[in-house]
Amino acid sequence: MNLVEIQGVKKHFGEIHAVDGIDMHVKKGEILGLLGPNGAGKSTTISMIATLLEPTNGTILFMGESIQTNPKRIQEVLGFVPQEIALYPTLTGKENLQFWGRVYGLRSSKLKERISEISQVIGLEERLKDRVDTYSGGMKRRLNIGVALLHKPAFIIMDEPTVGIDPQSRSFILDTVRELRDQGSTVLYTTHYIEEVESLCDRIYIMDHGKIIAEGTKESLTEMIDASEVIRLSVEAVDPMLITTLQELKFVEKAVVEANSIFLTVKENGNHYQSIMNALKESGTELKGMDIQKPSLETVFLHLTGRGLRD
Amino acid sequence: MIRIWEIIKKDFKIIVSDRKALFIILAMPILLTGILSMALGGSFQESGKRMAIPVALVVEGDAELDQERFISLLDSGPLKASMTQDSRAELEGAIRDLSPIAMFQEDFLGSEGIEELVELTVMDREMAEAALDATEVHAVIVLPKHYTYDMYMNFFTPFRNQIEVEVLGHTDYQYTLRIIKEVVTGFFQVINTGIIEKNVLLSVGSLAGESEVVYENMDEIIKGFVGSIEGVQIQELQGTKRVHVDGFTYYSAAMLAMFVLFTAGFGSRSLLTEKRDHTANRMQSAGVSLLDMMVGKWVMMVGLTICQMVVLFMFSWFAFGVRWTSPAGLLITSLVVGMAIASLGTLISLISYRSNNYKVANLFESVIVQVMALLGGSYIPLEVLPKGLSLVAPFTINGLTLQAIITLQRGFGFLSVLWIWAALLGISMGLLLLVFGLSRWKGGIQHENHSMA
Ligand SMILES: Nc1ncnc2c1ncn2[C@@H]1O[C@H](COP(=O)(O)OP(=O)(O)O)[C@@H](O)[C@H]1O
Ligand SMILES: [Mg+2]
Repeated sequence: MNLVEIQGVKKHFGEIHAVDGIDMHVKKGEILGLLGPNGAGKSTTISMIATLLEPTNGTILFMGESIQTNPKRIQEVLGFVPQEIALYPTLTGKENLQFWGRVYGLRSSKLKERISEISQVIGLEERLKDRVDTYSGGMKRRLNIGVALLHKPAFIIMDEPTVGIDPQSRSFILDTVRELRDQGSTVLYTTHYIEEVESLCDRIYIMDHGKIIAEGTKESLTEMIDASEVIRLSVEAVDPMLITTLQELKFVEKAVVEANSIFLTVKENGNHYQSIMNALKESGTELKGMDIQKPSLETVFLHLTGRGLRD
Repeated sequence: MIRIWEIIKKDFKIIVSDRKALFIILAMPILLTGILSMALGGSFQESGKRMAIPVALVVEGDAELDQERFISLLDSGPLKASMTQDSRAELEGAIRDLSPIAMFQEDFLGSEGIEELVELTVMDREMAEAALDATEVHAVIVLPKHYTYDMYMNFFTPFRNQIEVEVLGHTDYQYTLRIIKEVVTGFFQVINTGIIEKNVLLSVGSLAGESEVVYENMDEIIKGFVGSIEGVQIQELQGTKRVHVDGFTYYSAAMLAMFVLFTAGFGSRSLLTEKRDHTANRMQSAGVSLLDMMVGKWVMMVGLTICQMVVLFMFSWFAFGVRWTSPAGLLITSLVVGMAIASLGTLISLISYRSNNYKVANLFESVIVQVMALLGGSYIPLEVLPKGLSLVAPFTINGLTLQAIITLQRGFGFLSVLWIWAALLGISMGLLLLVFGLSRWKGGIQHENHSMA
């Protein structure tokens, strides 16, 4: 049985269809990535799983049971790391850990033990006695994660936990997530950073405009685009006529524009260089640079949506 | 249950960590009480003198008629038998010299001290009632029909006639009514003691077969009587002096009554702050309901109000020498005030939470608190306010608080403030019902949809 089963779920805020009919599942013991640009509907989706929002439509099952009828079931084993820092800024790190630990039912010696373990994991032992509002952004992020892990949750949801964080803290967090999985927890990890998903996740959903547009492992997703290469052309200005011309070339699967770059998904190996140069010359566009990329999740996303992930 | 306890503990830690809130809630009232007391205390005391209570005296009976009736009684029945002709004449003279009405009106109410407290006008009953309705007088004392006759009976015979003096009050002037009643009671207590002494004397005299001697000396006895009224009445006045509340005491109580409202103001932000800090979300994902959170805030506000009141009572004791006379009463008052404040704060915090902005809380703090403070008598004594406004005072939490503290301080017992405590509890209940109504409304006690963008 899947740990979480999401069936036909929608969430509408008036006119805004934040989540627009998705089917998803989370398998026990995996790190599941939910990838999508800002505004895709990731946070709305996991807020529904974390019982913070009621779906407009559809059902969410946790261990086969609807979370609307029995929210306690998931609440007890859930470690939720919200996208925003959800801490009491005027309390110390330790007071925060103590409070949230107690909310999750930890008491006395067990609580003490976990606080010292977790503060080691998140590297905050030295600063536990300081108020949270004196912490750096990275420290707050780490504490934000730490409080969700105190009770050794079997299921962890993390919403963009690495946004606005220094590279050191980031790799720290990613290592922590892997460790959690290795210890048997299930992790649902939301991000708009492709590298994170690529290096971390066992399985991936790609989300855009409230819909799941692709699902699979990193490998199966990149195989999805029937291409061996993506050619990126850097130009001064993009001429729409040029795009049309390029798209008409028979080896070009798709031409996508992002800022001053044109991404060409090309079908087969071979030298397409000449035809491309001709097209450029024809439209009078000056080429500033060119590189060839192996298909990646980024190119998958570009391919699927015609947009880049980072805007 | 354990969880709610943890939430309450956390809410207390948060206030302790919030220097600004602590300053507003504890230090500001201390400062302001000091400043206002210095600035206004003096003038308040003076105006206290000018504020003699206007009282109407109604004499229902005919004093002369009563006197004639009593003198004619001397020639009949048991009294006659125990007197010689001489002592009868002397006694009649004593009776004609003694006016029980003047005793009350002039010797007692007109004496130094009470005169400052009571501004007396003699009226007939109809006039007095009309004046009371128009609050031209704040109380009416009615000496009953056979007052003079009954007083003579009590003074000169072994009999005891019950005298029922009526004191009428106006609902706006509950304190005043109590004060006047206390004054009247004081008078009759003295009279009663005197009557008992006289009766003992008479009994002893008749046992020794010397009742004649007793009657001969009645004149002296009565004189001693009047003297004792004057003598004891000064003591009695010192008794009623408790009634006078000085500027420090008044402003300590008034500042406190006003600043407890700031506790509600502080609490009214707390729920929305949890939403803004996203801790509300985290709580909900852990299965903590909005109701649990509100319970935490409510208990926190009750506790904070009690702390606030106790600290201010202690401060004014040590700094201004205000001697609070009823610690137990004040503690009970703090508890019921805390409950009313917490309920008000919880209601506003729920509205803020639901509407997702601080406007309501801000409006409450900047405008409503000030208006309530004024109406509740926190800035100027209520008696000075226009009548229409002073009518509103009983409906404000701070007005009730002030009234309870001052009433207790004036030396009235718990019974006199029972209605205030009940009113505060009633306000709590009403507000909590609104809280429940509002939290049920639109989808039960649960957290609001929340923007994650
Ligand atoms: N409470 C809300 N009310 C109205 N619109 C919302 C609300 N929450 C999210 N949205 C909108 O829904 C869309 C999806 O938002 P979100 O789930 O936060 O995306 P993501 O987490 O992928 O960046 C966005 O357009 C956002 O503005
Ligand atoms: Mg998001």
